[in-house]
Amino acid sequence: MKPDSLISVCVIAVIASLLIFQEMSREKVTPDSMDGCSLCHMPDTDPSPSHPVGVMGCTGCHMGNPFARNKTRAHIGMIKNPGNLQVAGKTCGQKNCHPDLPGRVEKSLMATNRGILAALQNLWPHENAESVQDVFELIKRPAGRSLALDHYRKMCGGCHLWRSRYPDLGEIGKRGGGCTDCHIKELETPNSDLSKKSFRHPGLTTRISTDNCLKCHNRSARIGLSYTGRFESEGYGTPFTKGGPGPRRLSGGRFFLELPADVHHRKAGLDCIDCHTEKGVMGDGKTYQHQEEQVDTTCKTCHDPVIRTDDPDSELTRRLVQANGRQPTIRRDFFIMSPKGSPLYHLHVNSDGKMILYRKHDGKPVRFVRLAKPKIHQAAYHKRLSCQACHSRWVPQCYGCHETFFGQADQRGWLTGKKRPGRWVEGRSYLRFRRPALGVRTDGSIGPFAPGCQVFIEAFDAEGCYMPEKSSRHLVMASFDPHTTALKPPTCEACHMDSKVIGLGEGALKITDTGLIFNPVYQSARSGLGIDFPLDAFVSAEGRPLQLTSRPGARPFSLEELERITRVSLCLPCHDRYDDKIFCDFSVSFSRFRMGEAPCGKEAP
Amino acid sequence: MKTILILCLLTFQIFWYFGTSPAEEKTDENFASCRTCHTGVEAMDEDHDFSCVRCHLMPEHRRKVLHDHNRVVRHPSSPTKVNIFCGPCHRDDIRKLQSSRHWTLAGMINQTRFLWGAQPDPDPRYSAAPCSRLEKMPESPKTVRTPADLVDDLLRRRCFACHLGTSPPMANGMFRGLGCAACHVPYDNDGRHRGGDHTLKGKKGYPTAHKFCRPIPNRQCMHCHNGPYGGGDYTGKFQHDFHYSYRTPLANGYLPEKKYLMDHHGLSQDVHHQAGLFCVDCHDKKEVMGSMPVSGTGLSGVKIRCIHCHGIENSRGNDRGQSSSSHRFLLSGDGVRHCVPVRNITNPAHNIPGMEKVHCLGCHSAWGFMDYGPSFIRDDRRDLSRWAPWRMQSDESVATMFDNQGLFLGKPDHDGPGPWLMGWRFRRWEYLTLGKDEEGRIVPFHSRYQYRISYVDSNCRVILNNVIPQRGDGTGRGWAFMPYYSHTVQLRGRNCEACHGESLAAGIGLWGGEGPDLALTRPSPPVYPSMGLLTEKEKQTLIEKSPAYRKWRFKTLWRDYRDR
Repeated sequence: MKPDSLISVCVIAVIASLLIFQEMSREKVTPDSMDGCSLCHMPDTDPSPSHPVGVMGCTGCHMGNPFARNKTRAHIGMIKNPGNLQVAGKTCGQKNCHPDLPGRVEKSLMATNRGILAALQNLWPHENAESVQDVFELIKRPAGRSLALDHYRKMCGGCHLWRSRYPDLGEIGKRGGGCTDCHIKELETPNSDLSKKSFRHPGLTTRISTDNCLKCHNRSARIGLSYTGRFESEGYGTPFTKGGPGPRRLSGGRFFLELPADVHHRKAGLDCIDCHTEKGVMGDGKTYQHQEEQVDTTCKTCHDPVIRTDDPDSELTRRLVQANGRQPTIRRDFFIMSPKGSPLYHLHVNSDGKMILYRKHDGKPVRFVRLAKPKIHQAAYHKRLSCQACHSRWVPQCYGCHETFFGQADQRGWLTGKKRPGRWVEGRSYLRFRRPALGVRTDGSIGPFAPGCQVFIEAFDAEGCYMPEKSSRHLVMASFDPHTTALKPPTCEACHMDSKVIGLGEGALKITDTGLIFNPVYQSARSGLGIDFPLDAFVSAEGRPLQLTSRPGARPFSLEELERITRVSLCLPCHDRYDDKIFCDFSVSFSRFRMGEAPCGKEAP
Repeated sequence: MKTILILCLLTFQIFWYFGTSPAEEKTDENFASCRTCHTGVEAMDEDHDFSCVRCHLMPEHRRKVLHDHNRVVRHPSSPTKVNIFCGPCHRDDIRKLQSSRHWTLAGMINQTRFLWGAQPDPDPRYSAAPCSRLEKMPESPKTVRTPADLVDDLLRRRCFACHLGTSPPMANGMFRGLGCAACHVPYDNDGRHRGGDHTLKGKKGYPTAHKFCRPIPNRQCMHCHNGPYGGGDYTGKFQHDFHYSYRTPLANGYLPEKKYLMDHHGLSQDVHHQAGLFCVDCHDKKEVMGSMPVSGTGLSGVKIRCIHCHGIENSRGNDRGQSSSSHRFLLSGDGVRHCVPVRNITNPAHNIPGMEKVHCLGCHSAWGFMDYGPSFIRDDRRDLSRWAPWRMQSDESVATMFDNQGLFLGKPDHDGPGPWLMGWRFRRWEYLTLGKDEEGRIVPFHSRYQYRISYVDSNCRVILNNVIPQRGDGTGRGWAFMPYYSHTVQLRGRNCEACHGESLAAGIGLWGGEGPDLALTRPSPPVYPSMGLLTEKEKQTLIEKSPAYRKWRFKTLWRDYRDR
């Protein structure tokens, strides 16, 4: 071989060797990884068995560029939280995954907050030209002059599904995030460095923990707190421990006391999802204005069920059972559906007719009673009573919500994350949990009412001058299921003879045949409130409603109802059984008594 | 020559002696002629139309020249001075006062020391001010190991803000004099002088006028008795909770004006207050100024009974005739004639067998202070900013540690012991629990002593961490419910259901009293063995509806129904 040719061959060989060596030592995308993300990130665990990283890769959910090997290029278009409603249609909702769900969720109340926005715009100082229907509309709008919407932006707007998770720490940082808000299994300690080769990926689950719900549902009616036996307290922080305020804390500098939890939580260990179906929570695709229109469960759904022998949607049942992954495999002869037709796959009826619920989070069986005691529950004179009227042990009541708007200070808005002029400071008059007032709900049934909300607004402009035209008050009583269910109901007297329960407030009540005479304890005028009725008075002794309600048709008892309810008291000392015949037609019984025709009437003084 | 020299020396001595004294500042000012500045000052009254020095200068300082105005005695009736100024004429009254509860605070001191384990029983042995029969209260030791080591400090620096001998907080509603003047010399709520004295006119911290007040208006009593279990009840003032979010409501842009260092809810007022009765119309000189044997229990000083005015028999001395069997007349201290309804014996509610042992207030109290679960902490650390949210707690030393925005300004005593702070667990006015007082009467009981105590020293060491004290006789924890004569009388009594069938009233606790917070609604035994909680049998009787109860309940309801 010529020397020139030899040199050429050697050079080519060296270059080839170098290239081969470089190629051999370069990290490659192996058949185990679906996309280039795994070059830098390799989670130890999958988000869930149905979301295996090895099969789906990362970009299927998180988007970005699966082919790039360079960080900047790979992260173009990447989404940290695929559940974010802004992108969920392209991530969770992509064609082969959950195409129907993001659209439903966007219309659900947890995303739209329609009820909250409607209440604020109807009752608070508001510029009608700025009215919005839902949060998504509000997010796109710049902030205006409406105090109602400003209040929403800065105080209420932290709890809806359009909100992004991060970068805040704590409970606030975990709120929001679309699908992730509910379906996430939070890491006990957040990942500190995602650039490591292996890290823990937050989990995804359909067995949603009550703690997830409580991130948001620990405010307003405090339903999540009440269910788990906590009452947001007057904030003393007692007992003091380790030299400071105690450890029984909630977010936002609040403290709690421990009261009896709901029996479903205390005795059965049920989570929210054991009652609240996916259709009720994620919506059914319709846009509702109020929560009672969207909620897909009632007490009777389980305790007085309509039992079928066929499953109208066996495919959905199968999928839900599979997604839950904890339900026992049991042959079913009976099927129970929710009010909106969701299969309640975790409810079973034994061959002996007894009911069993298999808890969604662990599959443990819980036996429970069906509605019994027909003499009590089917008494005609109590037919308007809701379950909550008797079986709610307590209701958190926050009297006097004092909202001060300081135009000269700034506050961060939840929708944008940016500080804007105007700061809200909330105060209150006092709190209670016992003996809520009863009233008539929008559907005509009788249920517990609590302040929701009794708002006193004092507004100051940007110079710190008081604005009387923007300062106002509106006192509203609202009815809700407080989620403090107790098996044992109160005594007859506890409702029929209790001035607070019938809606008059605390005080001395005298029942006469010409009307009720009532001396209240709370004196609002001397408390500086500028109203002429007690804060805890829903109705006057003359039957005049004293406070507004948050739903059409919802109201306190009328004068006629007050007199009928209290008149029964005269007979209750002796006639305190449900099956007592005098209650078959009490008006007739009472007349007989007045005429001296009843046996005990002869003994009347 | 010698004589002239001696005379000169003598003259010099005389001038030296009378002209100067070692302690006096050499100044040309002479304050001896008081009315030169205090023009217009009134005489206290006809019987006290003295020269100023008779009350306001110590005998040894009463000369024609007074260079040091600091020698003027501002409070001649204060406990340290009263024997000198008031004593010569009022020896007997003062002697009785010095064994009264106003002087000794024997009840408060000895009950608390017993419950905190500092003495073996609650019987009176210590007094707040010098008393011939009781010892002076000890000081707390420097080293703290148990609550007993802290109790005297708590009493001195937190509770004794209200004592005849202590200077009052300079706060709306709390300005007052010392000693006899605490009651007998009027102070307006804003503490400003409105009398004839030109020098003092409009200034804060001075009496309304340089006069005695007769009769003593309620405002005087309320300078101290403005909170729970007395003045707050009577005038319908219930303190707001301590957290700053309870500083409500704003009205036309203004924060509520604090009174007695707190904001208040307005609740129904005692009917006697509505009628215009003074505290002194019931609590007369014999009660308030002693003349009773020194005793620690609550009733030893109070002798007034409802039946004294409202009973058929046993009317009081200041009755002014009886116009009918249903009313009599009472002349109140300000000369107003009040028509007093006599207890209606035809009302079945007053004739129920078994109810004779229930005190009138068992039914006729409209509401009361039921304050549960106090936590106390003495915090000696330098930085106390963590307590800013609870700066309004009816204590001047805590309030003055912070500015209006809650910024911590510094400890009251920079190098000394830290302040005492406290918080309740929760407070209610509508709750009612029953027990038995010394006379075996069933009365409302109050959740007064449910102490949890903490102490952090100046090195940030938590010496006592949320500790429950133990009684000094070793019988258990230092918690107690006590008889509570709530001054919230209402014409119409509570309904029977307020107690009958009500577990809270029976002493079983709310919903069984389970959990750390509801357990507080289960009463602890009172401090004195002569008092007691309801027995198990009495609790059962209260919860159940016996045939007798049913019958009488019906009678009362039916009577009301037809009563127009």
